[in-house]
Amino acid sequence: MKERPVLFGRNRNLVGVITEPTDRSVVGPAVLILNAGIIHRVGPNRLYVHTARSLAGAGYRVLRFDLSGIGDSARAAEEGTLKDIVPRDIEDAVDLVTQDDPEGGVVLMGLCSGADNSFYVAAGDPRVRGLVLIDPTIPRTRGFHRRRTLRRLGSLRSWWNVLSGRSLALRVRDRASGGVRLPPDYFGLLVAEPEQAAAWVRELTVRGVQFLYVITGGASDYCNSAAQVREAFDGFADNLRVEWKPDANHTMSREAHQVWLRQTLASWLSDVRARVAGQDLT
Amino acid sequence: MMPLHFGRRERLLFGIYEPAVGRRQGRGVVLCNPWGTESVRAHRSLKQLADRLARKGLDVLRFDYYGTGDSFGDGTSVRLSGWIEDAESAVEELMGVAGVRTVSAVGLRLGAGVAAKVAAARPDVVDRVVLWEPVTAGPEYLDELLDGVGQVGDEPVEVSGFPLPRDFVEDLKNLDLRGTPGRRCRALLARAAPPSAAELERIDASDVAVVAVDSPSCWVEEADYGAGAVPVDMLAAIVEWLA
Repeated sequence: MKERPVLFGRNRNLVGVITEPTDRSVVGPAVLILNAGIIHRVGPNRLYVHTARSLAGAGYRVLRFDLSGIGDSARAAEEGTLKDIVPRDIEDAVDLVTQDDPEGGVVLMGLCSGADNSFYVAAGDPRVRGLVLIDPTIPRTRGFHRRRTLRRLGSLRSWWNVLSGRSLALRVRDRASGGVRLPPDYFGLLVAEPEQAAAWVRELTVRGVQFLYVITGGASDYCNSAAQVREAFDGFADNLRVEWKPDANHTMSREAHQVWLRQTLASWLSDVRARVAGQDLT
Repeated sequence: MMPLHFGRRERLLFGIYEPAVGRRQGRGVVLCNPWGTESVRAHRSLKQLADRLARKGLDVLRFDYYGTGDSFGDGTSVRLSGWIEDAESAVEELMGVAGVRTVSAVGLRLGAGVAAKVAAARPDVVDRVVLWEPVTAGPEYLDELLDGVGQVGDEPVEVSGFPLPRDFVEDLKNLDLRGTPGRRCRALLARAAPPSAAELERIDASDVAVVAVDSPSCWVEEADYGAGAVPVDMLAAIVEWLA
C-alpha cells in the first residue's frame, strides 16, 4: 500500500489523499470517499483512513478528499450553492481517481451527508458503478411508523409517558416552540425529494449500479428496519444489499464495527469488480 | 498550500505547508495537534490559525503525528516520545521547505506539552511557544478521557473510537513539563479563563505572556456537527502575539 497527498480540481483547491496498491496493475472500480458532514477527510475516528488502507490492500485505488470549504480544501472560486459546488467537486475527484482506468468506473462511499452526496450525484455520472451508503437519508415509510407504533405499544416507558401526561406535555412544548425548518442543504446535505430519489434508484438499477446500505443504530430515529430501504424505493432489483447494524453507533467508533465494515466492503466490492469486468460502461 | 509527506521512511508523516503570503517575515510556525477526537474536532480551527499566520508573513506547517490523522501508522503505536520526535521532524521540514532559521511552536491541549518539549530540545531554533489550553496534569487528563470508559485493564481501551495504548497511558501518567520550554524561549499561555499564579510559575521560559479570551473550546463538539466551533477571538490573539 502506498499513499500520496494530492491537490487537484479545476481550481486546484481540493485536498485529498490517494491510497493504492503498490502494484500499479490495479483494476477498477476505484473508490471515492466523501466527507461525513464537516469532518475532514480522515473521517470520524480515522474511519476513512483505515478503510482506504484496507481497500488498497485488497487491490483498489481509493481517494478520500475534502469538498470545497471543508477540511483543508479552500472555498470554491465560483459562486454557487451546494447543488452547484458539490457535484462539481465530486466530478473532479472521479476524474482524478479513474484517470488510469476510466473503464473500471468508481464506487462512491460516504457516511451521513457523504452518503447523501454520493447518491445525489450518482445518476448524473455514468462512471458510477456502485454506492456505499452508511446512514444515508431514508424516507420514513408507512412501515416505519407501523413498526414504531408496535414497539411503543409494547414499551412500559411509553405507557408511563402517556399515563403520566409527560407525552402530552412534550408534544405541547414541541408545538409551542414552533421549530425551525431548515433547508435541506443547510448542513451540507443534498437530499432529493422522495419521488426524485425513487426515480434515481430505478434509473441506477437499470444501469446496473450496485448499492450497499449500512444502517447503524445512529439512524434509528428515521430508519427502524432493513426492510425500510425497499419500502422507500421500490425500484431495486438484485442490486441491493442492506447491512443492518443496530448495535453500531453512527460513526462506527468501535474497532470491532470498523473491522466488520472493512470485511463487508471487501466482499461486496469484489462482487462489484466481477460485474464491472463483465460489463461495458453505459 | 502544499500537502506533503515528510520524516523518516519508516515513520512517514503527513503535513500541510502554508507558505507565507505577502511580505515574508523569515520565521516559521509549527502547529502541534491534540490527541484523538479532540484533534479531529479542532482541525478546522487549526487550519484557520495557519491561514491567518500565513497572511501575516509566517511560514506554517501543520502535521499529524505518526499513527494519527493522515500520517502513516495506526493508533496503537502512539507514544508521547514519538510525538516529540515527530514535532522535531516537522521543525526540520519547515526549515528546509521554507528556508527559515527560527520557528515558533503552537500546541493545543496535549499538543502544548509537545510544543514545550520541542522548544526545550531545540533552543537553537524554537524561540517562541504558544501553550493553548495546555494539558499540564497527565493523570487528570487521563481521568477526563476515561470518564465513562472505565479503567485501563488488560484489554485495549478505546476512547471515542481511538485506541488508548497502555504505553501511551503510562506516558500521560508521567507527563512532566518541568524545565520547558526553557529559558531561551518566550511563552504565551492562551486560555479562555485567566490562569492561576501557580500555573504561570510552572512555565519555565524567558518570559511568559498571557491571553485570556473567553472563547469556544474548539476541541469540543459543537451541537452534533462532529467538529468544534472556531474561536475567532482566540485565534486573533495568538496571531497578534506571534506576528
